[in-house]
Amino acid sequence: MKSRSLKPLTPSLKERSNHDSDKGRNMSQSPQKENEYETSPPHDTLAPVKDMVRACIQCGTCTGSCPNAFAMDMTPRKLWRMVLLDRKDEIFQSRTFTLCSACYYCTLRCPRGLPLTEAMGKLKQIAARENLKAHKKSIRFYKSFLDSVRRHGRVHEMEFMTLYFLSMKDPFMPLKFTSLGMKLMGKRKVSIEIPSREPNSLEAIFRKVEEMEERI
Amino acid sequence: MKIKFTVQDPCQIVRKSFGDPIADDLRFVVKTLVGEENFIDMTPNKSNNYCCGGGGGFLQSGYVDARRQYGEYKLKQILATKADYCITACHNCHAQIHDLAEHSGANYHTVHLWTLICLSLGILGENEREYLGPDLADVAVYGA
Amino acid sequence: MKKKIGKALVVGAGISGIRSALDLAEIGYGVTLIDRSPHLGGILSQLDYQFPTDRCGMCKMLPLVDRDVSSQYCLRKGLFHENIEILLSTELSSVEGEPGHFHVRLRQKSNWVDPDLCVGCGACAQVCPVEVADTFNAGLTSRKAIYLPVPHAIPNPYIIDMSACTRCGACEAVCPTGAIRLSEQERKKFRILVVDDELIVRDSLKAWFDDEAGFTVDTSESGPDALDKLAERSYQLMLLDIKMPGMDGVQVLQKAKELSPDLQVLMMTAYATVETAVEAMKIGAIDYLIKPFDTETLIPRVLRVYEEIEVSKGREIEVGSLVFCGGTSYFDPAVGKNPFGYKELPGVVTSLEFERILSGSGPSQGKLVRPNDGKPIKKVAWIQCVGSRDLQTNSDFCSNICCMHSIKEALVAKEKSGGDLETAIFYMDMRTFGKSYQRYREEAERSHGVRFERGRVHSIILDKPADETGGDLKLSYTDSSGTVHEEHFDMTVLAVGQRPSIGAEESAKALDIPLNPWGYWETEPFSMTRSRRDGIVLGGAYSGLKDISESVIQASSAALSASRVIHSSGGGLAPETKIVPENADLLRERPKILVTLCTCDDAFSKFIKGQELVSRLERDPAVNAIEFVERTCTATGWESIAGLAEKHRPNRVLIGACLPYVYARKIGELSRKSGINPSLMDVVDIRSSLFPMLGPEEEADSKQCAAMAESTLLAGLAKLKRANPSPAPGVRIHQRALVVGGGIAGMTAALAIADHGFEVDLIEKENQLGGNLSWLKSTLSGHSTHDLLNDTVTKIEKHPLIQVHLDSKVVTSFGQVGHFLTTTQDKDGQPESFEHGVVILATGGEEAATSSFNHGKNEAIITQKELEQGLEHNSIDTEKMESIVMIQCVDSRMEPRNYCSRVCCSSALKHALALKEKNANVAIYIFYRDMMSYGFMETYFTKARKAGIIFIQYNVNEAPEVVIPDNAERNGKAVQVHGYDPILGRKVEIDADLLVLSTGIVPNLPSGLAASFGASIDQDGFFAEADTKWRPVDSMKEGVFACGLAHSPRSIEETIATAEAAAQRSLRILSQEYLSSGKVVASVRHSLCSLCERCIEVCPYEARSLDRDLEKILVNPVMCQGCGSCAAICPNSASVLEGFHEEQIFETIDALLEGTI
Repeated sequence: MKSRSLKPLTPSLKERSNHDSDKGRNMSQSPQKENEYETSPPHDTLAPVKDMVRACIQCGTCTGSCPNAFAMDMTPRKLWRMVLLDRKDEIFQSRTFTLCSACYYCTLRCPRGLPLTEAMGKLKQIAARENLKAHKKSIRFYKSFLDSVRRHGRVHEMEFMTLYFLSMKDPFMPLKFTSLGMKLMGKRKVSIEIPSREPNSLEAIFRKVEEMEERI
Repeated sequence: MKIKFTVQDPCQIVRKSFGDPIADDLRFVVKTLVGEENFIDMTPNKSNNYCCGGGGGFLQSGYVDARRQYGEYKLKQILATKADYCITACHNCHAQIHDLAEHSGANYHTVHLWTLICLSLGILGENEREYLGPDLADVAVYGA
Repeated sequence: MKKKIGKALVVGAGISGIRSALDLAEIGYGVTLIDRSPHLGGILSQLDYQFPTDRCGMCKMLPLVDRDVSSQYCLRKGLFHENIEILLSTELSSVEGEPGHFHVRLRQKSNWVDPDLCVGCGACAQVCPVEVADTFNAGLTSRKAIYLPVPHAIPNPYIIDMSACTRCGACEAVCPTGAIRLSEQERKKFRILVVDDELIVRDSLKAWFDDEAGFTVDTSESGPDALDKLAERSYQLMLLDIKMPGMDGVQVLQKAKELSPDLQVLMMTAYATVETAVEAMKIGAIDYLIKPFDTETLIPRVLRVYEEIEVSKGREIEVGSLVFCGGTSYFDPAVGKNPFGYKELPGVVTSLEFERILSGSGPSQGKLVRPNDGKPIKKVAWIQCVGSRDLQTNSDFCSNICCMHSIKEALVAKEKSGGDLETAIFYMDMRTFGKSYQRYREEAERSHGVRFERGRVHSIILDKPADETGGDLKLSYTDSSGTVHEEHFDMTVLAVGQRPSIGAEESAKALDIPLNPWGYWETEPFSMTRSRRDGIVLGGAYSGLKDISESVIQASSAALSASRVIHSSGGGLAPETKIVPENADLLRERPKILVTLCTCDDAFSKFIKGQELVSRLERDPAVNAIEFVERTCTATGWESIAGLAEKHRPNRVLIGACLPYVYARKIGELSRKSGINPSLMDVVDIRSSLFPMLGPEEEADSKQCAAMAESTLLAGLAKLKRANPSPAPGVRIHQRALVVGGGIAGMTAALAIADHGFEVDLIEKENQLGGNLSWLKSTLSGHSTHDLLNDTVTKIEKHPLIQVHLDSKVVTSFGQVGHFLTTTQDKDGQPESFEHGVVILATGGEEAATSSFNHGKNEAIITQKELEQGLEHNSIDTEKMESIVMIQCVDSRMEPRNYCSRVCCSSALKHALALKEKNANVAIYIFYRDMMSYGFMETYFTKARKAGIIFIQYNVNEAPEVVIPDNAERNGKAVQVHGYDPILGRKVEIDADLLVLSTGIVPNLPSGLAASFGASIDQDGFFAEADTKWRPVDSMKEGVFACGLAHSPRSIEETIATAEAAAQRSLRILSQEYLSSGKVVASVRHSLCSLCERCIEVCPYEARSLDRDLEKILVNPVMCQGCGSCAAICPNSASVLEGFHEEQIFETIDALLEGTI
């Protein structure tokens, strides 16, 4: 699809107070906030996602298909609608896209043939890149995981969790994982030793990925 | 031995990548390993198979309850086959399906595809039998 | 009647093909109607019920005037028309020549059973050991390899499905009439020449094909020797090696093809020379075989050649035009990802399969049970858009018919179940865009409880609900609010979408017709029927699936395009003189009846020859002679009847045979030979009575059977004796047409009629021609309507046979088909009178005015028409606009204007896309209820979505509100639209620079005007058709037709199709100076008539009128359809139906009773 740079489509569309399906969360936006957003979009970060879902006809096949829709605060269909309406804040306040397990059910069945799973992935990427607060936990979890992998060529569980706990800056957090950690150690799944694999063997891959991400 | 097996179609290689043909290949391998008569397919299957619910970083993302609830579908589907083993070709699926059984107390075992291949070849090591049930744990131990 | 010498070929004998063939036949052309399948009727042979009546009614398409040229009989069972020759199992093999003079080769496949000999006893099917899926029941039941393609066809010979047949010969042995021809003797006649330099190849091929397969095989070791052999005698097939010393295979092929062009050649090649073999195919080889051979592929390949070529009868005909009505195929949901588990889950069926389940001739005789496990059906779901509107299955189109089809199926199923059935239809947009469809839908919902769920079901799984009640098919779907529901059903019907007809692509290639982007045959701009090649036209679904009424309209339009070509190339001008002389003296002659009795190849001889039956007939003084004919149904048999008529000089003929309906054409022939009027000849069915004695049950009461045959004959005799020999009445036709309305519909109709050589008066109330085209600019697909208008107006102005009367209005009209007298008035009030034989109402329609949504209160609130004009005249500056809102269905699809106007969604898409094109930054929001982007228009809907246009669905009770803000709040925007977005679940407010309202179409057909011609209007003011499906442009009163927007809302090309259809229907009348009626018409015995006028009220065809001057009730014999309502209601028996006189009927009844009591 040819990507055209469109101004956010919705300067003129405002939403009024929600009445039913927003599960009590206050999503309504004041006109000021709307204006702020209108005047200062750094650049249209949603554009690549928008291009992916433009042909959506809101049939709801994705939502119906999604095995995880029950856990999502916003259904996939609504998420795509939000994307088309440029509701960036709400999209990233929502945890819908982080709950995508990439099962490709929606992609398989979407009558428009839209790459919905990829679009979910793209949202995860944007969230990670912009280091959004709402997604701090999972972003840091991923990052810690990958840092460990990058360093040793495989995940070193102990180091990984240490990195994660440090980045979260939450002194109580390690306690929550104690029982799991003990269990894993019992099964010899977590080792305290530093793995002996040669470092940097995956460096080229990581560099390439970084390079690709830059281009987006 | 009358042990029944079913197989999980990983989303990534089936729905995302190669579709039904690779799912058929997977069945060919599994049936060759366990014998046609011991294989029970889940329904729906192949392209329309249920996701285990562990993919896309979901296993790591921390929403454990949501993940397990998601896995309910898979769990029921596996239990409906009454199979003793669920074979997984994907590490993610393995972790999730194994967790589902453990969490719900379901009595099936979750094994990697490679585990079964190695077992059939007689090259499965003693320390690689973590996920086998007692019925298979002592079969053709390499070097024994 | 007069005959024209023009001929047409209609390819495809589905509903469109039948309509086109009838249309062409009715104006006198000879038509050859062919179909690839072994039966007539196409898909409709499998569909029993059609909306809006939920019944059939196909017979309403039969000729209405001069109707005795065709059997008045169930059209689903068979079509018998004097001018139509039907060839089934026949395909087109080549077309050469030019418009008006095409040279066509046809290939008729043998069905291995001689249809003339088959008596349909079914003994063959009983012994056939092969069971295969029955395509008639969509594979839900099984049949034998020898079978009846449809159970209800007449005539209905068995055929053999060679792909299933094992050639065991069991059927051949039991066939009582020797109709089955599988025998080895036939194969011996098929000669194969094997040419190869290697002895071993020659010997082994000879062994395989001669000794094993039973053909006759000769061999040649070199090219020259082969050519000598070919010169000596004829061969059907040559197996030719490529690499031979001296003359190689390609050279031999060239020479051989010169020598005998019909010879079929299969090349034999080693792998290395495959390319040469491919080259050889370009110069006439049909295929190649790669060495080394294995018998398993080689023998079947040669058998296929044998079947395809040798046993099919080649046929060449000359025609002026070809009409392709090839229909469509349907999406197969089992192919690909199959999320609905079709063919895997019990109870998941396609819409066509469900239609068979509903049918009395279906797998469960119409009982609502699942075909695979017999489980009763209590709850059914329909899933729309399976293989339509689905980019993943390569279908960026809507299939047009499925929404209505599913509603109909739901209603019929409800009726069948006696109310004990739950139904739900899952849809994305419910496309009820046809005339009256919206009300049909609402009726289904409101009065019959059909549930409509907006939501797409993503998959179906087998899941027994916990309490074991309810169905085992679990569907889940998301409703508009985002809630996911799961529901159990017993059956799920997949409303499968259209796919191009099988073979359409190949024939398009062969005929050099381009395909459109969706793979269907492309038509010329603004025409639904003309292809790029003049003289080759398209009917029905060949250019995309259509419902019945649209198919029928398009078929008539195709017939017109074909007829135009035939006419302009001289094919339509030469009338044949009538051969049958009228015998005025017949009234005074006493009946002399020749009775011929068919012995059915001697099978009946012992029951009739020298029996009581014959002596009983002889006792009747009206019987002049009784003769036996061996096989009445064969050409020889029929000739012998003509000979007997010559010998005995009877004045009436009674033929005892079988299947009376199939003899329409033959009776016509016999009439011309013998000089006896067809109405004085009759065929009666004696076979049904005698037949039980032929079957295996010998114990059938032979006395009783003979008595039944006897009474049938006596009844026929009584009918003929009392038949009125005076010629059928008729009316003289004033061969001139009046067209009211000078828009594109009226102009098109006028041109179509004038091009056939008849004068036309075109009345227009404005001071210029053009109607709505004068303000339209272009269409959604980008064609300029200016050009269309200019071209059409120029043609009208230049046409010598068209008189245009501007500024004129119809004041009054009198008369009936053949002769109307109409008075008009010009702008100065000057009256003018016209005499004409037919009238076409093309008074058009216009965009509805509205005051809803504050229209008229602010200049930023306009209609689609105003937008189109504004864009044309650049009076709307869209450059500075940031936000535009459109609202669809303004005052439409709700009472009182409860219909879809069909064009508004396409206008909105057209304008939205144009606005985006001009200014990519403008935000466009379209509030819609159901997007009616039917057919290929769906592509533009997709395009609009991709262009970033936001579509917001609304329900009629949550319609958006329009606020004109006070200046203070205005924010620079003229209007504010408050709506509700169901996906977001929130109210939205949109500040808009422009609000465009789609108000729809209202007709411009004053009831007085319609009534003055005897037509009527429906509740919305549109023309009321005689029958919405089968006679879509006719009024109940013969000779009055309508087209364009006065008929129903439609696009330009659809309007043109109706105009051409109306013209075609008119030409059927205009093309004859004198139109005779059918023989069964009513008349009045004035001496008994009390002028109570009840017959006038009851006549559905408005054929009766009271002439106050004569003080008589008059019957227009051409308009009378012989229904008999008048005769039944007349208190004095003054109204009589010809052919059903009291004495005739009583004597017939007596005769029937005599034999049986």
